[in-house]
Order: sequence, then C-alpha cells, then structure tokens
Amino acid sequence: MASLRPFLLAAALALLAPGTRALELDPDVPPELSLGGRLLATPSHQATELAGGGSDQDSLIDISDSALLINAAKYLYRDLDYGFATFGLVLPDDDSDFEDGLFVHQLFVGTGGPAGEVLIGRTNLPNTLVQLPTIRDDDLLDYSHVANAHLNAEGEEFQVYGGLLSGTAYFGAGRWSLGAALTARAETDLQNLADPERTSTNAPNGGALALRYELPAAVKFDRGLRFAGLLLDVQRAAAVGAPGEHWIPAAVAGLAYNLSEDPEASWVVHAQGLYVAGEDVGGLASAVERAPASRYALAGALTYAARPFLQTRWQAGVAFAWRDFTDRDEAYGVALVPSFAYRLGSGIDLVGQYRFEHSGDGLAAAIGADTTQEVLIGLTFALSGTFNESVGQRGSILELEHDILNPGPATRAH
Amino acid sequence: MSYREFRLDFVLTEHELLPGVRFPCFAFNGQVPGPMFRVQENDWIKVVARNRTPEMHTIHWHGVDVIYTMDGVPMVTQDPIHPEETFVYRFQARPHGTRLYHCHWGTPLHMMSALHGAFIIDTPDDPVRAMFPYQRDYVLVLEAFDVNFTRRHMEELLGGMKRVNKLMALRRLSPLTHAFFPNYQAFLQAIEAGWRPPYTRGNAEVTDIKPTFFAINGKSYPATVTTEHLYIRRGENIRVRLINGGVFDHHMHLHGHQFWKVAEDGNPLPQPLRLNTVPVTPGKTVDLIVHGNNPGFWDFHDHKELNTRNNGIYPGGMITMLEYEDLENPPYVPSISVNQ
Ligand SMILES: [Cu+2]
Repeated sequence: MASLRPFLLAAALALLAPGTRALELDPDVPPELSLGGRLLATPSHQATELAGGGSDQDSLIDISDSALLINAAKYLYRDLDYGFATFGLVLPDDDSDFEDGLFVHQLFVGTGGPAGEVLIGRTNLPNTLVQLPTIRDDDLLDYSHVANAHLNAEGEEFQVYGGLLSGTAYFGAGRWSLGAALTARAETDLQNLADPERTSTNAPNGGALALRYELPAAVKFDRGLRFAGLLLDVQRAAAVGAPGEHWIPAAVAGLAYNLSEDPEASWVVHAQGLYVAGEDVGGLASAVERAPASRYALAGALTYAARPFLQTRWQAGVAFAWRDFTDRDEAYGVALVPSFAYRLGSGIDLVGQYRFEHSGDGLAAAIGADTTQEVLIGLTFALSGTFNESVGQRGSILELEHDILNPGPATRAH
Repeated sequence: MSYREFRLDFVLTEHELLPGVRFPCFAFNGQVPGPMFRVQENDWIKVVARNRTPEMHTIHWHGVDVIYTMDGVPMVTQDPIHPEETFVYRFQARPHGTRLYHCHWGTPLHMMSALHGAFIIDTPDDPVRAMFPYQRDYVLVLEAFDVNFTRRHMEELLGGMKRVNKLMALRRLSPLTHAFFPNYQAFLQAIEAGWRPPYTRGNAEVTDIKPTFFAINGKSYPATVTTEHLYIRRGENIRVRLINGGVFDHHMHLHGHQFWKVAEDGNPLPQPLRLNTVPVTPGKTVDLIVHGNNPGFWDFHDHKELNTRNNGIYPGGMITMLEYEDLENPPYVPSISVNQ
C-alpha cells in the first residue's frame, strides 16, 4: 500500500491540475534578470625550476576562469521580502581533471528580507575572506583558501565552489552579518589515491560560521576600515589512505582598509591570516595530503586605482602570500604577484601579471617544484546587463545612511 | 521694503504614493508636491532655500517674471546650491495667476523626483473671479513617477556625489570631472585634449524612463480620496488650477459637466473655452471653472488611460472625483476598486 502512495498522489494532482489552472489568478511577474560574467583570454608563459634540478617550460593561451552568469530576483508576496536564483558556468583550468568541460559553478536559490537571507545550492564556499588583486581569483588559492580535505584530484573548481545550505542574519544597520552554513565539498575515494574516483559532489561534509563587518565601496571610499571578518570552518573528512574520519578545523581572519582620502586615487590594503588545525598525514605530495595538514598562511595585497575625473583608468596591485606546514621542516612557500589592469573602456581591460612562487626545500621536495615564474598578458571583458530592474540591493546607501529600506539579494554572483 | 519670508529645504525623503508603495525622492520640506505658495501680486518674496541633500539643486520660479539672477537656472543665472548651502531668492510676485516652482537641476532623477510645487499669485482685480464669482478653489499638481528608476538612480547618485563632494571639499573638482566649463571654447579645448564627453558611445548608459505610478498632489488613486476630491454645491462655481509638474502629457477629463477653461500658463484667456477634456502638457498650468449644475459623483481623470493605473493595474493613478456636498439621498454611492 505504501508503495502506491506516490502514484496515487501524482494521479490526484494530475486530475486537479486543469481545475486549479482555471482558477489561477496570479499574474506571471517577470523577474529582474542580470546577465553577468567575465571572459578572460591571457596568453601566458610559465617556467618552473624543478626540485630535483632541471626546469620545465609551459605556454598557454589561457581562457580558464571565464564565466557566464544569469542572476534572477523578484519580490515575494510579503513586502520587502525577495527570492533570488543564479545559474553560472565556468571554464576550468587546462590542467584540471575537468578539462574540456564547462563546470556549473553557481546554481542556487534563496530567499531573504530586511533581517536576513537563506541560500541553498552551489556557490563559492565560505573558505576565504578577502579578494586579492590577481587576474584570476585562484592565482593564490593555496594561500588564501581553506583547502578541500576530501578531494584527491586537480580541479580548483572543487576547492572554490561547493554545496551550501546557509543562513545569514544582518544587524547593526546592515553593517554586520553573521552567517552559518552547512557545506558540501566534492569528495574522491581517499583509500585509493592512485586511481581517485569522485564519490560525491554534494554530500554535506563540513560547516562554517562567519562574522563580518562590511561597508560597500560606494559608501566607504575614504580612509578607514571597510571590511573585517572572522571565519571558522570545519571539515569532517576521511583519513588519507587509512580507515576512519577526522575533523579538520580552520580559522580565517581578514580585513580591508582604505589608506587614501582621494576619490581619484585609491590605496587599499587587504590582509588575511589563515590557520588549519590539522594533523600530520605523512606527506605533502598531493593536494589531499596538504589540505588537512597543519599550516599557517598569510596573504596580503596593496592595490592602487587611478580614477582621473572619477573614471577608472588603471589599477595596479601587488599581492604577497606565505604559507608554512608546521609539522614539516622547511615546508614553507612564498609568492609575490604584481598585476596591472588598464581600462580600455567600460568593462574592457588590458591586463598583465607576473607570478613568482618559491617553496622551501621541505615543500619543494614534496610538490616537485622549487621556483615557479609565470607571465601573462591579455584582455578581459566583463559582461553586465540588467533587465527589468525592479529589485533593491543589500547594503545600499539609502539603507545605511537614510533609513530607507530597499533590500535585495546580498548574493549576486558576478 | 518688507518681504514675505518662506523657507524651503531640499530633503531626501521616502514618500508614500498609496498604501504599499513608497519610494525615495527629493522633495521640498519633505512634502510631495512642495508646499503651496499663496501670495498677492507684487508682494516681495524672500525664500531661504537650504540644501539638505548630497545633490545640487536650484529653484526656478516658472512663469514668474523675476530678475534674471533669481531665475534658478544652474550655470546660466546662478551656481547650483551645493549640499548644506543656503541660497536666498528675493523677487516680486508677478504677474498674477497659477504658476509653479521647481528645481532646475533637470536630470532624469530630478524629473522622477518631486521637487515641484504650486505658486499661486492672487490679485483683488482677478478678471476670472469677476466673470465667474467663486469662493473655493482647488490646486491639483499632476505627477508621473518611475519608482524603479528613481530607486536605482538615487542610489547611484548618492554614491557618485560622495566622491564629487569629497573632491569639492579638497578643492580638486576639475571641470572635466563634472563636465562644467566656463565657456564653449573651453569645452572644445577639452575635447581636443582627448576628453570624451559622457554622452558619446561607449560612455553613456542609455536610460529609459517608464512611469509606473501617476499622482495628483503626491497621491495615486485610491489615495486621492483622502485629500484630492473636489467638493461643490448646486449653483456654485469652483476654480480648479491644474499644474503639470512632470514630464508627461495629461489630458484631464471631467464627467457630466462642460467646464470653462479660463486661463493657460496662469494668464486669463481673452475668451473662456467650453470644454470637458483639457490637455496639460509639461510645464503648463490650466485654470478651469466648474459650475455645479449636475448633482452626483463625477470622475475627473487623465483620459490618457494608461496613466490611470498603479504599476499597470487599473484603476489607479490620476483619478479623482467631483463630489456634490448637497446630495440628499443618492441612489448610488461610490466604493473603492483597485483591480478591475
Ligand atoms: Cu534638484
């Protein structure tokens, strides 16, 4: 009898459907739609000094990290409450285990109101706090993000994006937020490292808690603190090459500070410290061994933006990063990334970047590379267009400074 | 010389057009429309205008023959009134008639805001009153709002003005930042030096304004019931002064009556016109005399019916009513509908 129930329910619904449609009075309210994303095409050359001596050269017409996004939002029946959804595709790195495929990196649905927001789906994992001025978001991934301890595969997509069931509360006139999330990171079979097989992409296997203080750049462009955040992340992962599971907690603290009083020339400092309270898993050769290993990481950047006549013309940044695996000798790494973007027109930039990365002997021996240098130069085109504009935005000046509520999704991928 | 003194503050406020619809806008003293002036012809007027918004404004006395430095056209007759600045307008109120005032910082955001109001100049020798004796008159300011546009552009403006005002405080605002030039030659020189004007392709965001709410004195039907109804008694003449404070055309139609159009742009017509529908285009004022000769409840609305909707839903917007106060037992009494 129990097995018939779904069938009977479906039959009943099928019978009801025409009747309910005839009585349907709800108008079809079109959502606000925005098309977003960024296309990057940057020829690059990379030279690596191998740990055992010798060197390796690699050239690429790199189009990875190019992404296309559709955001939708509309208000609910209740005043000031809204729903939102995003779908996005990104092109993985050339050396990823997902090459030649497109990856759905954003797919979420959420709802919110003046006091908070709920989001369910796949989006950026809450595993980092600051955005460094590199051409690609993942250029300093090893230093800036809490790594995925479930994954034995190359694929930055599965480091940056994951499943989320999250709730965020806003308070302090919208300047503060407290978020809690159940996270799902992609998993591979960690008992068989030689032949990894993806076992799950969306099974919950961790959680995160984040407290943030944030003033949007539109509100806070003169000297002072624009952002400060504290993030706690925990993963429940299988032990590498051994039975059993363990907890891997991590803590991240970050800030953004405006140094300049000048709206035509802004100087901003970003800084972030990260600590993984992991354990010694026996080696650092693979990403899945490094992820749960105890480590400190610092990442910082200084960014300058020239906006003569209040029109963005060029931006230069230098990012610095350092990491140290505490259970191993000389297992540190440093990176220095100066980058440059010259604005050719609204949303269209000529970009260039140099990346220097060096590992201490302990880490170099494990990962095979002693020093890596990379140069890239290319073009980026940021897409943005909004249709049927009808939904507000969180953290608006109207709300922050004039007590006029006009809430909208905090999470609009771009 | 003694002045009649008034205060007008430019304020950023949130205005309720009707229950459930609020939007941010600039408004004089926080009122939509701004406070009504009622002065006598040749009165000397002093208006202390204080800018309490982050945007720049002026006040133009539309249809009033002021001296030119009081005309309120930015960069033509005065510098704009900067945030937290005060400007004092002094002028003589003339000629008599239904006139208006509005901010002349004419950006689309201002057009979709509410910086406008009635400026009524009376005279003891009013030819209209002589021809059609009346006791009561009504002033209806006609308005159209694209509230989505206003919300979004208000936000953008507030962000932009933070930077502009900062540069101004640092005394570093250059003509190129704000596209202000001392003369046409300087403008041409800037272009020759490589500066591209903001309206050129690649630089301009093309804005589209589609008004979704229409109002009389700041209220959309059915909220017009509360204050915007016209009351009349049998045998009475009432004067109705229509003012278009917005940028769209309105064609006001009165049911059950042929009214007299007695003045246009505030000036009495040599010969009144007998009409039942009258266009009121942007910046125009039209004065009507209605004679109470057909008791009942009568629709008075924009006959461009697209403007009698709230966010696309009929009925709404620019609808009000002529109501006889001396009806004893009306066979039918109006009710309220907001979705037909
Ligand atoms: Cu103004």
